[in-house]
This record gives sequence, C-alpha cells and structure tokens, in this order.
Amino acid sequence: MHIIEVQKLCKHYQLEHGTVKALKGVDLQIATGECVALMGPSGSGKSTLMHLLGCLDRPTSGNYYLNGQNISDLEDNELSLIRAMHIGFVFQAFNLVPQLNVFENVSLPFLYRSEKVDSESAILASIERVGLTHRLQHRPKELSGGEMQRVAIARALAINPMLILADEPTGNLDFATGKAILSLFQELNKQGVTILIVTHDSFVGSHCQRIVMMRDGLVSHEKGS
Amino acid sequence: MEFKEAVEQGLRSILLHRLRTFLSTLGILFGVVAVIAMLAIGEGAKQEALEQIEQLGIRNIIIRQNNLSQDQQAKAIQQGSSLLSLDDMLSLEKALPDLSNIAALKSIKASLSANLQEVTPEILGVTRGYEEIQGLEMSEGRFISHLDISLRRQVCVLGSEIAFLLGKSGHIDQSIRIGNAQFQVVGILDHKTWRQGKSSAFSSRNLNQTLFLPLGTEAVFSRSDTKKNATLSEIVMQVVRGEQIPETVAMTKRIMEKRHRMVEDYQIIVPQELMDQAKRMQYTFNLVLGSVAAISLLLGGIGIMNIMLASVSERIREIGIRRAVGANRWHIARQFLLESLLITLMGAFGGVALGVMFSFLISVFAGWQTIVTPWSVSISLSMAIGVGLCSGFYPAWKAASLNPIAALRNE
Repeated sequence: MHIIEVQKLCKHYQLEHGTVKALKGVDLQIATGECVALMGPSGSGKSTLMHLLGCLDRPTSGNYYLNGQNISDLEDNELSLIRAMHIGFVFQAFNLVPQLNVFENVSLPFLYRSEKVDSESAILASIERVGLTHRLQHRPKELSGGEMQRVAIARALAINPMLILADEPTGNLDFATGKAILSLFQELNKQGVTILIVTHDSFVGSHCQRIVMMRDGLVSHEKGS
Repeated sequence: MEFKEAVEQGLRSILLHRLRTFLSTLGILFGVVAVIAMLAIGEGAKQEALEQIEQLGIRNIIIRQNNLSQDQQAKAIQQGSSLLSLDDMLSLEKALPDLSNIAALKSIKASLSANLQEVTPEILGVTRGYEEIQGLEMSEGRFISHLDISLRRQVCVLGSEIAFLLGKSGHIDQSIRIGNAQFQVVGILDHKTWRQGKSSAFSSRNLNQTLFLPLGTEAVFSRSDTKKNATLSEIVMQVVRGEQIPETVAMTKRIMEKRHRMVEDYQIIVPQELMDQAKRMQYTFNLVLGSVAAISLLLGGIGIMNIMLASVSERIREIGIRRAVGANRWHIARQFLLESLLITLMGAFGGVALGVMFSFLISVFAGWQTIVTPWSVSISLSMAIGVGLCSGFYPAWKAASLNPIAALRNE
C-alpha cells in the first residue's frame, strides 16, 4: 500500500521575467512504513516537492494521492486540515513558537483540528518518546539545539501522522546531536512511522532505506536498499 | 481551537511585550476615559438644570416683576403700566380657562427680630393657592387661607429651617416679631429638598428659609403710598395639563401686553420651555463632546493597528509554523483579531475604571455634578470594541494572507 503516490507532478512559478519550472513531471511512490531520503543539489526541486507533499502548496498540474485520496485540487481549508490531521513537519531551524513551552508547542496541531480528541495523553506520550518529559514547562530558548529538534519531532509525532516530512533536520546541529536525531528517526521508523527526509547530506541519506535523487525538477534515479 | 486556549495564547503573546502592549492600550484607555468623563459631566449638568427647572414647576407659568429702578418705575407708570398688580392676577384668572391655580407673591422687606445666625429668611406675602402650585406639604398647622387675606390677619407660616432656628418660638400658636408687628404662627412647612441654581434663569426659592404672610398684611410695615405697595413680585399660574402651556402662555402675553401698554416691566418664565431648551442644549453639548471623545478613541485604534502590524511582521515565522501544523487562514486571522481585541478590552476596562474615578474626582474637586450612567459605560465600551475590531482587521487579514512557505522561510 502506497501512502504517497505522485503522478506527473508539475509546479511552475510565474515571476516577473517569465515562468520558473520547479517541478517538471515528478513520479514518485512511497510505501507505508518507509524511510526515504530526498536528495539533490540546490535548485533541483526537492524543497518544492516537499512543500507539495506536505500540502503547503498546490501543484500546477499532475496528481497527488495521499493514502489513496487525490488532494491535488483541494482548497486551503481542506489542505490545512490534512496538515493538522496527518502530516508532521520537522524543519532545519526547529521552528518552535518562542513564547510557548514544550507542552504547548507539541499541542499546537491539536488547536487546529476540527474534532475534539483527548489530546493531552497523546502529547505527553509523544514527548516521552523523544525523551523530554522532564522539560515540559521549558521555553524553546531554555533548550539546546538537539532538544529543540526533539520537541519539533514530538510535535510531528503527537498527531500520529501518516507521514513525517523532515527538511534538513540535522542541518543546524553538531555531528553528535545530528546523529542522535537520526537514530531517533530510525527508531520511530522501526515503530512504523513513514518518514521522508529532505537533505543534501549523504550521511543522512545513508540512514534511510531508499534515496530518491532529484535533478532539474525531475527524479533522476533512486538508490534502494 | 478552544476559545479558552485561544484567549490564553493571545494573552501570552501580547504580554510578551508588556511595555509595548501597555503603551498601545493607552490610546483606547484615554479615549474611554474621555467619553465617560465627558458624558458624566454632560449628564450631571443636564440633571442639575432639569432639577432646578422642576423646582420651578413644570406645569407653571411665572410672571415676574422686572427689577426696575425708581426712575424706570416712574417711567413705566407714566407710560400707562400699573406694574405687576393684583388686578393683573384677577384679569388673568378670569381670562384663562385652563388654570388650576393662580397665586400672587410679594417679596417683603422686613426683618425678623429673632437672630437666626447666618440665615436671612425671605419674607413673602402670598395669596391662597401658592401652596398647591408649589406642592407644599404642611408638617404642622395650615397654610395662609382666604380668610387670613380678607381679614388681614397677622399670621404667618414658617419654612422648616426657619421654624427650627427659631427654636421655642418656632411652633404653632407662638408669636414672632417681624419688623414692628407681632405675627402668630399658624403653620410649619415640611422640609423640601432644594438645589441652588448656578443660572439665575432657573433660580427658585429655598422654601425652607422662607416665611409666608397673608398678602396685604405687609401694609403694617410701611407708611408709603398704597399704589406702590400694591406692586407684586410674582404671579404664579398652574395649568391642568402640561400641553395647555403654549396656548396659555400666548394668551397671557396678549393680556399682559394690553394691560401694561407694551411696557416690558415684567417677564414671563415658562419652566417647560426652559426644560426643552436645556434638553436641546444638552443634546448638542453631548454630541460635540462625544465627537471629540470619539476622535481620541479613533486615534487609540490607529495606535493598536500600528502595533498589530508590527506584531504581524515580527511574527511571520510563527505564522508560518502555525500554518504548517494545520492552521488555516481563518485561524490566523482570528488569532490576530483576538489579540487586538484583548489589547482593546484591557484599555477599555481600564478606561472605564479610570473614567468613573475621574468623574468622581471632578465632582469632588471642581464641584460639578457628574453622573456616570450605564448607558455611557456601554456606549464607550462598545465604541472601543468596535474600534479595536476595526483596527485589528487589516493586520489580521495581512497575517492570514501570508504564503505559508514564504512565511516559514522568513528570517
């Protein structure tokens, strides 16, 4: 079963001096439980692809099936709800809200979901999974880089997502901390979480089961294990 | 998002910059203070005017002898006017169909032999009917009667303060000395609340400090000519119903002009007209004051919009994060609207508290009557909330229309 199926996905940007074709017909499939690295030089379209997969943007043409549902033509509200329900993001710059503490940052996605669930136990459980239970009341500025990234991962995990999208998750961390974060991803993947990591670091790629290489708006080749 | 959580997060965000938030609430705060204080002063002034006019009696028409110098009096008589007289009263009584009561009043220059400290009683010669027109209640005895007047009985009725200050002789059947004559006390009035007027147009008597004699008995005090003595100070008329006033006033004017040969040695005071005037004036006053206050509220709103715009551009990254974890445009707009509303509400409630306090201080230190009505509080609150929402609208819209990807990349 493919959690993600992308067919001939194109994304064009209209700029003042003409059209930029960021994606020129990408085909990609990711199976449930996979851990995939999306690699390529800058300008190859990997970030654009990640934004489309993360429902932050809509494709110019082509189809995107998330868990069997075609979501290429959904409105902003529907895409927002899909993000709140099914997609977890982890960013290079951690992207935590500075005035909120660890618990509140992790609970953020639940604020934007339409149905009310008992979120507290899920939030606490996911903070425990990244090993930060002792930091619940701390603000981001009181945490180390590695801890902040763990909070971001906990936030992504808390909603029990179909997919975690990580954009250069180790880019702002020292080697040892980055390695720890990668092992956390591996451990989560073993527990069944589907993960897509965008990176240009081949060390990060080596921790994934499959590497999808992009070049010039297209998937150039794949390396699988 | 649960409303409670949204408010909590909103509060947290605006308290992140305490000083800035505080400064931006000041505009609204002082706007609300201005609205409340100005309306309170206006309302106080209105109440004061209305109370004074009501003391004159809303169904009454008063004809008052103008203060004329001896020369002016002589001139008036020469021109054929007989000044304000009992005959005026009798012809008005005969000609006006809607009167329920009419009474004549004469201010008498005589002094009480008893020493009443700083109170100087006003001594009035009155005819029967005055007590009904003024709604006087007796605490003891009776008022001046028809018989007292026709028999020129030397009796008197005391205002409550006079009776109190006279002590032992301030009781029924006691005799008091006025000028060179003895008068027997036949009645004492109930205390009547009285408010001193600032404007002479509305001025009324403090009946508690008044002493009434039957009209005519004042002859014992003087030996001057009777013609001059017959001059009244006031004729007071009361109509049955308020709506009969305009017609009665018109007829009164005609009769008086004819009788006084167009000499204006009197004035006609119509409390009802004064009241209408006072209300119209107050309305204009409130409108002007309200507009000034509304402008300061508007300025407060602009301050809030300014702060919210700054807040949006400072928090572009946060907006991107919230969008990434599932907030739609409306969630973002709502968050910023709520924050500007919270800032406004802080300012508004602070303003109400300060405005009430300020109004109180005005009444204490400036001696103006101020009245804070629930109406003025609710109008200033709703104006402030309206201004807050309006000024939050554009920043909220700006925040909501940010592209999430661009917002996330913002450094």
